[in-house]
Order: sequence, then structure tokens, then C-alpha cells
Amino acid sequence: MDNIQMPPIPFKRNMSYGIKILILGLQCGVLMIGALAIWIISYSREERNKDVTEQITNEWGKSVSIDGPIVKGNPDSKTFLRPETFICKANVNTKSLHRNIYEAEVFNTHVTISGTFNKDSIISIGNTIYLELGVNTDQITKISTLKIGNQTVKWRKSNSFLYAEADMSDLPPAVDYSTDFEIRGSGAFFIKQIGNKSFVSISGEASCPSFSGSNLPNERSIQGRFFSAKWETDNTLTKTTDEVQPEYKYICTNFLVGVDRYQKVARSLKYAFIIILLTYISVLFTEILMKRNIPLLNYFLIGAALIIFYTLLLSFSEHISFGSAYLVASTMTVLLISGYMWKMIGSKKAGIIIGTILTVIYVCCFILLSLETYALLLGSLILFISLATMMYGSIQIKRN
Amino acid sequence: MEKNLEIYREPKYTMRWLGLQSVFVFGVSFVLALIAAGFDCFASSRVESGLLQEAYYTLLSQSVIYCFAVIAITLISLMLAEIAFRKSISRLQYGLIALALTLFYLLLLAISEKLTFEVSYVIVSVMTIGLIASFIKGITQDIKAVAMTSGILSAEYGLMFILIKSGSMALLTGSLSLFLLIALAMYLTLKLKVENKELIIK
Repeated sequence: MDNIQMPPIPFKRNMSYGIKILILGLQCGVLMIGALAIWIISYSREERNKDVTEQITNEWGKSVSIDGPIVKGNPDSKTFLRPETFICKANVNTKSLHRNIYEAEVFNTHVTISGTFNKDSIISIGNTIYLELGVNTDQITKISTLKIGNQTVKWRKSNSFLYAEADMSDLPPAVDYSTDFEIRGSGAFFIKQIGNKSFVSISGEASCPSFSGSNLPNERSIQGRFFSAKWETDNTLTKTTDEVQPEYKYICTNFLVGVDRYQKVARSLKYAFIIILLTYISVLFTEILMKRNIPLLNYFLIGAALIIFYTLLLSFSEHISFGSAYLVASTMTVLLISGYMWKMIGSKKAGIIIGTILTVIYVCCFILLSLETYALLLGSLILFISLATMMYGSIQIKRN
Repeated sequence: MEKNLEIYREPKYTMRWLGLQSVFVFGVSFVLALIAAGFDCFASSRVESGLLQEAYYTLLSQSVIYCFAVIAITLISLMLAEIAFRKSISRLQYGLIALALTLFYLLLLAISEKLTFEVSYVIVSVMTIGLIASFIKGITQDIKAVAMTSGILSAEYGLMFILIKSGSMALLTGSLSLFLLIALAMYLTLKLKVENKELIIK
């Protein structure tokens, strides 16, 4: 019969979808090489950041540890006397030192040490005593004298400790001692709880302090940049004979500035493959539903723009915070790709749809990056929803 | 009669040609980028023997990183010139131009041993651009193609100089220029139209 009309060819295409999807998969693979290159760049920048930070902190001063005071009969004596009470107050002031685009957090601390020694034990040592205070001596910027009993003596420096010699011929009823100094350092602050009763308190300003050590603080508060923590220990119960010394506990406060932008970029790179895949699928659906032919070259350019997002993210995050870098980079990428789709297909609707899909993908990716324990759960739920959307889309295709 | 032949001749610049040519271009760029990395190793041995200054070597090895991008962008712009000006450039000629771009690094190394890096950079880039421009002139006899190619090459070498000099800002500048490049490529694909299976730029 002649009057049977051929159905109109819906749109011109010279490649079956199977082959096209296969080549798109290959393109994804090629683009992942780009993602790998960005991961390598990010890794080397992180190493460089560590080097520069270490350089700055080496010049300023490393972690501070205060160990002492102890009393000895002579400098070489192995046995020593611990203080009865040990009160240490440290006031920490942190500041950032910048070099290039890298920064390191360092601190300046004012430390006050005071307490008492047991009078009888001091008498048993002898008339002249040596008092030792273990501290990083080359990081001390200002130091006052040592007041012990009713005397004032000057500190003298050794490699790893300060020492003072005092004449104990006439002792007051309680042998009090007190001294204070300013010390600079970075990274961590250690204080050994040397006394039979120790009261240690640290307070000040820092961006992200954390407390660790043998025992955690009895009281702590962190309010914005201000923090304070108190430790109290009583070793009188564990006091033993001279042979068996009780284990001294130490407290530790960390002031490491969290440079987590490189980790965040590396983590976000994990989602690169799925982002490219979802974008390709949505562009493919647009192509099928709008009955247009989008060449493979255009797909590749879209994929390349999605990879360039990561270099933008990395480079912006070195200058502004990670959140705003993510916002700027994703906005640029979404606008570019949706504008491209709009001009390519010639319909504003297609551009808006792709833009919305990409925005949703990037927002989901950001939520996944901010969450830690729920990332897997949320990620799999998002994948489930996107699969459901794809299924719905494929039903639409069949009906056409 | 002749006009008919013109119409029915096999279209040369098809979508398939574009795809195969891009694969060829990226392959050539990759191989020559490896050779340029070899020049980098050679330069480091010249530093050890005291012929090249350490500071110049740092700049040189920075510039070798961009070798792949420079070759790929130049060859892609040649493809565009082919489509836009309808002048055929053979694959051998593509290869020769890419070789000239690789030789840039060896020349840069050789001249910066004698002169300062900045001066030798200018001399070598002028030499390379001059060579390629006159080669394109010989192939196409089209002044527009020559102007386009030498303009793109000058922009590339200018950008590369800025990138190797900007230190810690290099990543930001580089990724922003990559973004602009992708936007430009997208714009050009929009201009690229298929008529009678033949690619034309509108």
C-alpha cells in the first residue's frame, strides 16, 4: 500500500546510544586521570604547607614542656625531692604567623609556678640545695627570679633545664617557692604534674585547643576563641617508698591549627566520578527527551568543566575559607555548564533544568563533606533517590 | 561542472575528523611532554655541573609543567584554523609544529646558561613564534591564519611567563585561566556548525 506513511525520523543521530554511552564511560575514565592529577597537586601543596609550617614553628619555638621543680642535694644526685604542692598557671596567647599563603599558629605563654616543699625533707638534704626546673630554655623570652623560703635567687640556664642554688640554713616554717616566666612555642604545651598535690590551670585564646595527656581536665570550658582548663591531682595516696617512684602524670594541650582544606579537597575528589556520571546521565536524558543530538566533544567539555571545578576549589580554598571557596567554584561551574546547555540546545528550560540538577548535586556533595558519621548513610540514600529519578525518566522516554 | 564537483566531493572536516584529530593531538602532546620532562632532567644535570644557575633551573622546570597544555592548545587552534580558513595542514606538519614547541625548552635551557632567564625567555619565544608563524604562512598562504596562530602563541607564552613568575598565586591564576579556556572552547563549539556533514564556523 502506498499511502502508508513512514513515521517521521524524530531527529538525526549517527550513533547508537549503546556506543555513545560506552564512549561516555571511557570519557569518564579519561577525566578521572585529570582528577588524579588534581589529587597529586593537592597532595604536594599539603606537603609544602607542612614544610613551611614546620619551618615557621622551628624558628619560633617547638612544643613547650614544663617538668619540675625538683630539689637535689647536688647537681649530679640521682635522688630528688618533689614539691608538696605544685600550682602552675599558664596564660596562652596564640597568634598566626603568615609566610606566603601558608600560616602557622604559634603561642606566647605567661607561666606562673608556685607551691611548697616539705620542710623536713629539705632539712634532710642539707644546707645548700639545687632546684631544677625542666623547660625548653632557649624558648624563654622573659624570666623573673626564684623566690624560695625567704630568699630570692637568680635562675641559671642549662641546655634543657633551669637551675638555682639556694642556701637553706635558716628555714621559715613553710618552704614556699614561686617564679614566673614567659615562653614561646607552638603545637603543644606539656606540664608534668610533679607535686604530691598538683593544681594546673591553662587559659587563654586559641583557635582550636584540645586537651589530652595522662588525665583529662577536671574542668574545662571553650567559648569561641577563649578557653580554660583545670587539672587537680592528688598523689599522696600513691606515695610510695623512695625506690618506687610513682608515675608522674602530665597534661597536654594542643594548639595545632587545623589545616584541613587539602583533606577536604581530597575527600571531595572522591565524589568526582559520581558527579560526572550523574551530569552525563542528565545531559543524555536531556538529549533524548529534547530530541537533539549533542556531540561527544560537548560532553567532554562539560566533563572537563566539572574537573576544573576541583582546581578552582583547591586554589580558592588557599585564599578564602573552604566553604566560600566551594560556593564560588560551584557557582562558576554551574553557571558555565547551564549557560552552555541553554545556548547549545537553544532552550532556556534545558539550561535551567541542568543548572538545578547540578546545584542539587553540589549541595549534596557539600553536605556529605560536612557530615562525617552519616556520610555513608546519606550518600547511599542520595544515590537511591537519583536512581529512582533515572527510572522515572526512562519511563518518560518509553512513552514518547 | 566544476561547481558540482565541489558540492559532491567527500566532506573532509567531519565530526569524525574532529574526534580523530583531537585524539592525535593529545597523543602527540603527551609524547612531547614526556620529552620535555627529559629536558628537565637534563637541565638538573647541567645545574650539578655548575653551568646553569639554580634559580633559573627552578623557573625552567616550572615552565616545563605547562608543556602539555601549550602544545595541546596550539594544535587545537591549528585544527580550528583548518576548519575556519579551509586550508589543509597535514599531520606531519602538526608534528613539526609540536616539535618546535618542545625545542623551545631546550633552547631556553641553552640560552639561559649564558644570559638571564627573562631575556632568554623573550628571545626563545620570539624565535619559536617567528618560526611557527612563517611555517603557517608557507602552508596556508593566509595572513589571517598566521595572525591567529601567532596571537594565540604569544598569549600562551605570556601567560606561561606570568604563571612561572607568580609563585604561590600560580595555582589560582592557572585554574582561573583554565576555566576561561574551557568557557572559550564551549563558545567555539557553539559556533561550530555541521552543514552537509561538513564542519564550519559561524
